[in-house]
Amino acid sequence: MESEIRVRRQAVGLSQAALGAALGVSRQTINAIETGRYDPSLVLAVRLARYFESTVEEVFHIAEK
Amino acid sequence: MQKSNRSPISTTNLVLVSTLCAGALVAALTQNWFGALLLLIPGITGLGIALYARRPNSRDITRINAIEYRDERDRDLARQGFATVGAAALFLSVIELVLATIFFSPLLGLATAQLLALSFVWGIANSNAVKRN
Repeated sequence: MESEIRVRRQAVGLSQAALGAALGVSRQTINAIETGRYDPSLVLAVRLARYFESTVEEVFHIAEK
Repeated sequence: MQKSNRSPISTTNLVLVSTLCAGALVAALTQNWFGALLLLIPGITGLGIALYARRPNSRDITRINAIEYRDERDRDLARQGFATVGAAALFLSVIELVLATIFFSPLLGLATAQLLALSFVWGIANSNAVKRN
């Protein structure tokens, strides 16, 4: 799944580690989400979206076939 | 300053380390020094590895190998690893049962019990997974 996490994180000047710490997850998890290697749970997706004051659909995108 | 409620190591590691150290203590009390050392070394090593994996900047593979999961991704990766171990254990147990039947009949009871126990645990795990999902 694609996401705008990296763009939004960099826009507010946060490191992956800092965002992970704010959400209670590891730096590697943020990296894996940003690079599309890991699809977060619905709970984490909502928390990420809320952190950036957005909706899940604004932050995460499913590639259309 | 904000205080963390996290325990120094995970509950699983706490149980493992405690069991090994308690076993070492009992072995030492019965003057089984070799047994005491045999249990104490993995106990202390396990504690060290768990504490090392708990560091804030530890690698994900270190945390997963040390059973010190930090988040949902760690737990998800660990589940995949344990699933592979379980599948390998079942497969190897079948081979063990076949070999015990043909060549090592004294081990037949143990091999049968092991396969039955693994199959039972597998069945329970499948049942729980279906109920939760």
